[in-house]
Amino acid sequence: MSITATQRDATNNQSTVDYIRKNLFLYGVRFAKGVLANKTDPEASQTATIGQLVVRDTDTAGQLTLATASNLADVLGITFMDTTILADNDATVAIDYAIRGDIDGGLLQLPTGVTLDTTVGNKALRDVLNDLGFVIFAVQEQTKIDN
Amino acid sequence: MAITIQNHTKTIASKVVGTFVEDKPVLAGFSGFFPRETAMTLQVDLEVQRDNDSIAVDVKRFTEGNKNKFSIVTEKKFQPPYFREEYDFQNDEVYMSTIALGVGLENSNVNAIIAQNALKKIRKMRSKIERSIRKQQADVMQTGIVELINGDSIDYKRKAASMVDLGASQYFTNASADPLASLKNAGTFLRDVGASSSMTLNMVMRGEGLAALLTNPKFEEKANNRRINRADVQSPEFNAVTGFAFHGQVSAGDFNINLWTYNQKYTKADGTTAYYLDANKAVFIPDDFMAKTVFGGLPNMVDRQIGGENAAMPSITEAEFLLRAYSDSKTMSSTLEITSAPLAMPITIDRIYTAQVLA
Repeated sequence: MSITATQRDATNNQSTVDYIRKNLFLYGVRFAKGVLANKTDPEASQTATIGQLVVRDTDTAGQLTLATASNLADVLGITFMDTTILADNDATVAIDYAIRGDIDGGLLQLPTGVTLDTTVGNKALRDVLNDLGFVIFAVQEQTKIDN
Repeated sequence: MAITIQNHTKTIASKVVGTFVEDKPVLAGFSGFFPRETAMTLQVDLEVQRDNDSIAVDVKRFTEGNKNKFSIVTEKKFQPPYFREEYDFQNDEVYMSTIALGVGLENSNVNAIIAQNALKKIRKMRSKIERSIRKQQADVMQTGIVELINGDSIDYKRKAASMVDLGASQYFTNASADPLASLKNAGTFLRDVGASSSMTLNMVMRGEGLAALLTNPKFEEKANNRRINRADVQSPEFNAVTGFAFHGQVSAGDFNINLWTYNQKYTKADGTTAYYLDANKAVFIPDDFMAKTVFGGLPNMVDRQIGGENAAMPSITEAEFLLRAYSDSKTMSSTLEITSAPLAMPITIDRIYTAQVLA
């Protein structure tokens, strides 16, 4: 859940702000608690935000890392957190992550080059998430930004 | 023998048989479409949520429904312009304006009349501001941009398709032009883009536009048809409140269009005369057009008690107009001031259509 505000047409006598509210989790969502670690290789800062896929950190028991295009089969949840910058390797942050429920597929923050139809073994990524208990919806926006 | 200036001494050669202090009324114009509302604040907001006009798709029973979201809201914030008109009512003003106009010499209640005379000046200053409001309303109708002199003009971002130039081939003065087709296009835009559910439109133009319409051969041909009555043009009925004149009704496509002319004018700060509505334009307003004239909060001074002491403190007053008077007893002068912060603000911005109908 987040709200973005974008200002336009600002002068001394007028200003317009477009607010967009994003609700990733729709219905019947269950959460677990975990610790997300930066495991970038080569080492770099890493931005973590709501809607990203997480996998187990195989180096440290109980920790999570952000999924990449190469480990989609191991996805176990979706982050529910405020945007955080993990400055360097092994930097951690406590998060909640969703493990099942109805979600707005259009608001997932998937790894670069990955879509819900990306092949994972003999399945698509959406099938992997379905197996976890996520029901993915294409939620139709009924409003728009206009003049 | 020519009349000399000495003859103007009325006790010698003439008698004052009447006085005329011209007071030009400010007619309502488009004000009926812009009801008034006051605010306590410097700025005023308009919240907008658009509608995608979507159609529902059926689903198989006992399966998932279609998910919807309404996640976009736009907030438009405006700072109304500020008007401050002052009138210095001094000792000599009493003699020159009041007594010289003959309102005091034989009246025992002269001081009351002097005060009333000051009030008349206030009313005239208010009329100046009212004319600016009419100008703002006409700006909205024609361009969607309220023009300010000492501020940034306020652009309501009307869609380009709502402000069209019919072009030489369709100007009403062109013998082969079909004005009713252009009127139908206006109604179609207001219905399809403006989401207006009104089938009755008000077409407001200047006398030039109406004259060209009434003499257009294609319009005349349809108006003169005795078997199919799609036009009912009558003698003008002038409305003394709005300044509009009603000329009848025509039909174009699905729409009934009331024909109005609006020929009111004002004098600009540089002394030149201007009309609220351009001679070559016509504006189309459906019955369900919504707008307001909003008055922002006005700075004021009020007496307050601070720690038991009286002190004049700055404050905000919520009003359409605020009258203030401050005076100096030694010089026997007084300044009367009227302030206002009005802004003509369309709410259904896509329910206005403007066409250039003449070259």
